[in-house]
Parts: sequence; C-alpha cells; structure tokens
Amino acid sequence: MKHFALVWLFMTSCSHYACAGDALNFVEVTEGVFMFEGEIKDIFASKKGMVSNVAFILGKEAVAVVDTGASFKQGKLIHEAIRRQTQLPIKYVINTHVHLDHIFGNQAFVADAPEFIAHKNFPQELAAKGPYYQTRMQAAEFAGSAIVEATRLISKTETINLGDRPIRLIAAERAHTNHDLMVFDINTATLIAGDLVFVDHCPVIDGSLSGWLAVLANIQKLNFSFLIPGHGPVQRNKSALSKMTRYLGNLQVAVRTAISEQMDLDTASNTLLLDEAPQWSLFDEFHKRNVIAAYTELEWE
Amino acid sequence: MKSRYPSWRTMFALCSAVLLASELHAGGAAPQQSKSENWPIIRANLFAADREIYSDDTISLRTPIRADNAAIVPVSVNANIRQTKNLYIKKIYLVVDNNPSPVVGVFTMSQQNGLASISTRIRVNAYSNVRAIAETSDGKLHMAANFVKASGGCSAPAGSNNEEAIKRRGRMKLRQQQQDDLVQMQLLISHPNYSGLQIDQLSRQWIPADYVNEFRVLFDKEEIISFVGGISISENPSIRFNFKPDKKGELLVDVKDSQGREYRQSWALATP
Repeated sequence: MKHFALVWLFMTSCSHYACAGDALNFVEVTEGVFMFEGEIKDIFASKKGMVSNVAFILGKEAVAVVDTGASFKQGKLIHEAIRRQTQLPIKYVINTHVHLDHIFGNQAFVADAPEFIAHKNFPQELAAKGPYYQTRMQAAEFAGSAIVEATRLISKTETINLGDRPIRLIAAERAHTNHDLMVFDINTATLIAGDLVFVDHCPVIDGSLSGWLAVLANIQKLNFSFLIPGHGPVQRNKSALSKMTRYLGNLQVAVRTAISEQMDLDTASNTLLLDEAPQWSLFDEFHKRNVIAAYTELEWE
Repeated sequence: MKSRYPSWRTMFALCSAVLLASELHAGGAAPQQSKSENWPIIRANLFAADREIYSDDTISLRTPIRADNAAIVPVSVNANIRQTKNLYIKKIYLVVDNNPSPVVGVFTMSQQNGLASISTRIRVNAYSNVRAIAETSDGKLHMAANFVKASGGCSAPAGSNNEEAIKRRGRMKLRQQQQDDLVQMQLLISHPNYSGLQIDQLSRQWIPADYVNEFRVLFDKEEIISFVGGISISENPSIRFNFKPDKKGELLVDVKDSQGREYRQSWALATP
C-alpha cells in the first residue's frame, strides 16, 4: 500500500511539475555554477530542440542566468531548474548573442523583472533577425516565444555582483557574430563563452573569421579553471580552444589561397578542408557555409 | 530607359504578375524540376511566343542542389561553344522562377569574351528552377535549368559583411588570371545590394531597395560585357567572365545603382 502511494505521488508530481522526462539536467560545474549541456544537433532536427548550453550562477543575494534556450517552453524548464536550487531573485538574464537557440526562452523570465543584459550591438541584430527567426518557429514547440528586448547593453566590460560574487561581462569585437558577450565568474575562474567557443560542434561563422581568430587568441590568454562553451561539454583546459583555432586558421589559409588562385566560390565550398569532417559534428551542415562566409569576407582584404 | 536594355517597366510588370501567380498557387504541390507555375508568364514577358527555346548543349548550368546560404548561391553558366564571328553567344538571361523578381538579370556578351562563360552569386527566395537562357548570334535561344533548394535568400537579414559593404560602397576589384588564350576575370563590386525585402537594423523599417542595376566593362572604349538586372544578385556583386585580348589596353568598369549613384574604376590589362 505504501509502495502504491509512492507511485501515485510520483505520477502526480509528474503531471503538476516538470515531468522527469522533461526536467533539465543541470550539473554543478563548480561551486555555484550550474550548466545544462545541449544536444549537439541542428535545432530543427532535434526532437526537444535544446541544442545550446545554458548556465546559471548563484550568488548570496541573486541569480544570473546565461542564455535561455530556444523557446518559451525551454525557458520555463530552465526557470524550474533554477527554482529547484534556490529561491533567490533572478536579477540578471544575460544573452551571449542573438541566435535563436540562445534567446527565445527569455519570455519565461519576464515576470521576475530582471535586467536583460546583452552586447551593445544586440538590439539591432535582434531587430533584424528576430522576426525572421519567428517565421521559422511555427512548430507548437515554440509557442509563446516572444522577442524580449535587452534592458542593459555592454560596450566593453562591466561587472555585476550577485552578492559576494562579482561577474565580469566582456563584449567581444566581431567574431562568431558582431555582438558576442562573454561572462566570467571571478570567484571560480569560470568562463561562459557563448558561441565564441564550440566544442565538438562544427564552429559557425556569422561575424568575421579573422575577427574570431583574434578573439580566440585573447581567450587563450585568459586564466580560467572552467570553460563553458556555447555548444559541447565543459572544458578544464585549452585543448578545445586550440582545436577550434586550428580549424579556423586552416580555413583562413585555404580560402586566401583559393582566392589568390581564382578558385571560384562554388568550387571552394565543395573542396576546401573536407578532411576536417571527422573532427566535427554537424560538419556537413555548417562547413560549406563557413567557406562561403570566409570567402566573401577575405576576398575584400 | 535606353532601348538597348529590356525595359524596367517590363521587368516590374513581370514581377507583380508573378507575385500574383504565386499567391494564387500558394500551398500547391511539392516543387518538381520541370514544373513551374511561373515560367510560362516569365517566358511570355521575355520572349515572343513563336521563338523556340532549345534545350541543347550550347550552355550548361552549375548550381548547388541545396544552397548552403540562400543569400549567396553560386551560379555558373558554362558556354560549350567558342565565341566566333560566325556564331557567338550574344545574351545570357538568368532567371529564378520563384523569386519575387524572377529575372536576375541579362548579360550582354561580345565576341571578345572568347568563351562566354559567366558565374555570379544570387539570392534564391524559395525552392525554384534556376534557368540560364543564351541567345546566340543566329537568333536562337538555348536553355539550361536546374532545380535549387533554398529559401529566404531575398528577405534574409543582410550578411555579416554588410557594414563593410556600406563603408566600401562602389569600391571595385578586378582580378585577372591568364588561362591559355583567355584572361579569366572576376569583377567584385562592394555594394549592400539591398533587395527591398530586408529590415533595417537601426530604424527597424524596411530598407528601400538599393542595388547595382547596371554595369559595363569596356576595353579601350569597346564594350566586352554588360549587365542589367535586379534585386536577386547577392550583396557585394561578383561576376566572373572571360576576355580574349589581342592587344594591350585599359579596362574600364562603369557601375550604376538603382539610387542613381555611378561608380567608375579602371585597370591596365595585366597580361599582353
């Protein structure tokens, strides 16, 4: 009978709260820093659509969440996961950049009235891309995923404090996009890099290849104990950074050579650096696009 | 409008006719390579009904099956005949059946091209046939067509190079490379080439169409290739073509955009 009651209780809690199958598995990377690791998949090919990493940091007085997933529904699951850890106010929602897998859970935090923090170029990009993303988000999965404007913009670096927990916000020059924002938790030396760092997932150029290489060189110089990338598992050393730098560096060399030899764009995108394929997930989805982006950037050097 | 180019009125009329047609047929069957609702309308606007269009091997067309970036779809038209006095390709029409403005543009070629192959980069707004129609000097029309899977290329937000494209607006590059008896040329024109279907990032309004609608390449004052076209050419237009020079001389490029700006730049022919 007791056993039956337990089963009943479990079933009830499943229907009232996040079901065990839906609840997000956040792992405490280091003291007070929690991370959900997204599935390495194209967002429209993924069953649950949680393809990007999400993190939150607990201070003595407040919580900051970094990125909010791809939908209102995902945002709610992130909110629930935070509430399982703490009842402290969620004072900051930080968006690392505007790509749809990172921002469309924002709506789930509006009721907490946090500051929505982003790079100074974020609003323009959101205006340009937000409505375009929404036309692609017609599936029921994405219901309620409204555009939420940033309320505080970072142009270089600023520090926020969660209560004995200072957090550096670092706005990058044009790299993965033209508005990448990094988050550095000083107490634990944890860098939340957003999509400036891809692990396993093929990097995606939507800003500037040369700019990205410069930003990666700066990240290499940072002393961090933990690095949470935008996609892929948490890192404790710099090998993933080196791997990315090698891929993007090789791409720069190969594309520059192709341009100087007058190889056309189509041939370049179909032939360059195909031997990198085994190194990256989603290579077929993104590599050719990267060659096109690199080519159209570098031909104006 | 000068009579040597197809009239813009025709092109715009064509544009709205096709838009209307797509609305009428919205939600139709899955696209197939040879079937196109729009093509008969486009054809009727471009060519007299009694002109036959041959699907022979005068030209071939290279396009990706699925575009990696719908706003930058590489298209190559390869000429399989040489430009000779007796027979040469005079014009190449480039068409994307299902684009809001289906006629990408018309290239006027010359005997001096040696080989009238061209490549460029275009926007593809919906799954569509992409066609090249070559008109040879004997007045015949020859077509090659491929189906391309791509969508949103005309309305996609401007690419990450947009800021630079505006700063450099009108700047050009002309790359030249000798290949046997031909000089392969690539003309690059820095221009945002706004389609009129994109949103401005600052004002959050539609960006008015603002695109390169005409260019001419002259060699010692003689035209070797020219183009007139619309919004389907990608940001920072790139055009590759051949030139078979028989002397030294100066290359001059004259570009006009839809806002009435005009840009000129000249280069010495790199190889004798």
